[in-house]
Amino acid sequence: MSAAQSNAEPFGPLTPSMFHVLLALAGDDLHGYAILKEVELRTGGKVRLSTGTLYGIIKRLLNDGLIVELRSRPAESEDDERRRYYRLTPQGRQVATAEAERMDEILSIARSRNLLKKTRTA
Amino acid sequence: MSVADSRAIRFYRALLRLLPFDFRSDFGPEMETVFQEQHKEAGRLDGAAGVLRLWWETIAGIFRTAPGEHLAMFRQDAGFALRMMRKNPGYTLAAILTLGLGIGANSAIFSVVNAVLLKPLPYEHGESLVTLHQQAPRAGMLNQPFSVAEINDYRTQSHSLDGLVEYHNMNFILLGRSEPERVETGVVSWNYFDVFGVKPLFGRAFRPEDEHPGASAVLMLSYEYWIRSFGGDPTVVNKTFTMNDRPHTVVGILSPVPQYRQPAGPHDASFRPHEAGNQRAPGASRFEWRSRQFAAGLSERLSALN
Repeated sequence: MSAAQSNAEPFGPLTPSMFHVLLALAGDDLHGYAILKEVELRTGGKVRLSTGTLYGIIKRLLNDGLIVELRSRPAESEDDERRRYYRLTPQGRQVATAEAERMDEILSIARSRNLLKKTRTA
Repeated sequence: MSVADSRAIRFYRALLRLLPFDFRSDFGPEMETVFQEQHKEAGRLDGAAGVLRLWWETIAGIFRTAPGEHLAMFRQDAGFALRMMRKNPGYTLAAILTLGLGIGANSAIFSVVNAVLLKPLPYEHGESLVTLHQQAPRAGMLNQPFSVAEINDYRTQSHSLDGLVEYHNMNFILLGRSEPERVETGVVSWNYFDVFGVKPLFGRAFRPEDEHPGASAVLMLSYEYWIRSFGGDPTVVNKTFTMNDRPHTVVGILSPVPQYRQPAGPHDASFRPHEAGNQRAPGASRFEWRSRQFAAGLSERLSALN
């Protein structure tokens, strides 16, 4: 087990939706709508999060310290005061890394057993 | 914002009320903004189908999220309450005792009110059942027993009675089993169970001919006695036992209903019809009328004859 995986153990397994949100925030600080669009874009429309699901995830990630709400905001002209921006914390990045490593291990096993024919890139 | 958009936002706001208050306070305005943008985009890109799909996903998402959030809130509040109670044990004990006394007192009062006032009698038309007591003040008797002939007079001459039954209780020795058994027996009019609306579980109830002089003696067993002494065996119907020096055939098994018994005493194990021709049924002291108007005129006429 890698260091990232052992550090992520207390948080338990992530649901796919939670992992998608962490992945989206791994790229940049985003507000809620941007997270939804990022997840939809990256999955080719296969994963569409509703507002209820998204904010349930955001609340849990905030409580667990995996993301934080940003105090500083973009310039006024680009901003809606009702939007809140979120950033992945170092702990959140570790958890996302651990999850990605876990999935990579599973994919390696699947490839070795010829369940996966070729690798795909994002 | 168009009318359709503002209506959509109003409906979405109503949907958010399924979520806990704290959650709504924290994220509600942001969720509205995000939904507004989604709604606009869905309408622009996919038209009505896109909007419907968005609504479906949104409603499903809220219904999926709300129970978990309410549970989390409850756990949080319960944990806080328990911590506070542990910090203030004296106050907690006083509160528990007060609540316990209040709940106990209310439960006791409700039990009495329910049994006496609210709960209907477990008989057909229980609200029309009355108990009649006969008095003979000149003889100093406040609870004058009825004779069988008097019962028949009331039965035939009253115009306001739907049914008239008599009950009294006796002890008999039941023979015909491995050991003799003393049984409490209700001696009743043939239509006793008809008036109370009680149907037998097996076999039949009494019939008018069961009271005729010379008729074969018959018995009905109470449900509790049948279970206790015969293990619920339905083949006991049509079996014959000896009671009061006469063979009695079991014609029916009663269904499980509360037994009528005044004064309160052990429940009757069996019932038999009383035999016509007796001038005074031993222990007969009351009978039940099912009537909407008490036949006062009839009672006075009969009293004048005595």
